[in-house]
Order: sequence, then structure tokens, then C-alpha cells
Amino acid sequence: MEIVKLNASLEWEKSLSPQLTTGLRESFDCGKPSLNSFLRQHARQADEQNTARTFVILDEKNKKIAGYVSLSNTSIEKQTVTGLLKTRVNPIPALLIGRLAVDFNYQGQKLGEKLLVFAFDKAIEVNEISAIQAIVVDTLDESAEKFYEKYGFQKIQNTNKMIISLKDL
Amino acid sequence: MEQRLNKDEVINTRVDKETKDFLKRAAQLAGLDLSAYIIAKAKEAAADDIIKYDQANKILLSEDQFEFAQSVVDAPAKVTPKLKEALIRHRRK
Repeated sequence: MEIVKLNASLEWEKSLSPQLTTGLRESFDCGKPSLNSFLRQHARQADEQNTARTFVILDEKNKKIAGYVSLSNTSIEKQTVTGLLKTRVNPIPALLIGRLAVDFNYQGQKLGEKLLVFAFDKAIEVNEISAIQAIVVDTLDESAEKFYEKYGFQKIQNTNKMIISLKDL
Repeated sequence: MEQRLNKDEVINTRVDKETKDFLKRAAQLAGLDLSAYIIAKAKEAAADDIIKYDQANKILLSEDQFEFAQSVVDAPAKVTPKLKEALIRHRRK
């Protein structure tokens, strides 16, 4: 199964619309309502507004989206406390994995890992074009944290964010 | 399957009559009762705000948190066995 841009999957969906009972995005279900609704309702808008790119694993045979990952650029900065003059530190430019999810019919096939490596490869490309130092991921819960930890992400304490250096890839 | 959520929580707020009548009229036009209408509209607006927040594209950290992030970036490369495996498995080069 190929990883394609969201747009490409929507075009494909249009081309076979009469054969589809529900849309590709509507039938996606990873078990987490917020991750489902992002794909169903917001991914396209974010893509059109150039605020996040979503890539999907398209299962053409079964006419399903098996998983997706959304990427955007971010900057990690030290929050300045008003009244305290400090030497300005450079922000850390990074790629943000905002959301990554796999439909529960496809779990156990290492598709999450496939999407993660895809994001890593994109990060390397982004670094060549506009320089980044890290990849950050937003995690929803402890099981997500455990998943990312295995690949070397480290939790930034008291946040829902984990970070890995681009050097590690 | 997205489970049906229990509606155990209450949002209670006071408004002036003009606001209530105004919202009621809009709700009628939308074919919804007032509560359903307010919740539907608020959810739409909330989703937009969350997207806008995402668009700010900045992660603001405290001093300690930032130092930690910096230390991760500055540390020498280290690849966990699982990552190594994953890169071999999924990279086609």
C-alpha cells in the first residue's frame, strides 16, 4: 500500500464515487474520536490553507484509508517572562508530526511505523531545503508515548510533546 | 466505532433576553432546538480556533523544558535498535 498526498486520495475517491458507499475519510476509524475527526473534517482545510500536509496510506483494493500522518513546520521557543531581560536564545526549527493514526482494521501491520519512517524521510528532505534540527510529535496518551519512545523520542516534561534529534535518523 | 458519549456534563450560562431571542430565532431557522444549536455552533468555532492555534506553529516552553529540548538536539546521534530496524524495514534505498 502506497503513501500518497491527501489530495491524490480525494481525486481517486472522486473517480470511483458511485462504487463507494461511504467516503474514504468518513469510514476511517482508529478508535480515537479526535484523530478521526481531524481526517474527516479538518485535514483538507489545513492542506488548502497550507498549515499542515496530510499523507494517507491508501488501500486501493479495499477502498479504504489505512492510516494517515499530518506534518507541519514548527519552532521551539523559550517563553519569555515579561520583565526579565535575557539573552535571546535561538529557537529550534523542527518538523511537527501533529497527528498519526492507523485504522483499527489495519493495526498490527506496522503501518504506524511505516508512517513514522515516511515522516522521518520527509524531515530529511525538509532539512535539506530549509534546515530543521528536530522532529516533534504531539501525543494523545500514554500508549502513544510508549510507541514513540521505542524509536528514540524523549518526552518534554509537563507537555504532550516528544522530541527526537534529526541527527538520529 | 466512535462511541456514543454520555451527556452528563452541564454548561450553564446567563444571557440577556435580546441575545436569547436572537439565538432562538437562528436556531429555529436551522431547525434545531436552542441547546443543540448553540452546541453545534460552538463546536464549529472551537474547531476553527484549535486549527488557528495549530497555525501559530510555535511551541513555547519554559526555561527547563527548552534546555531539555536543546540538550536532545545537541546530543550526539544515537539510534535505538527499534529505530534501526524500522529504517531498514521501510526504506527502499
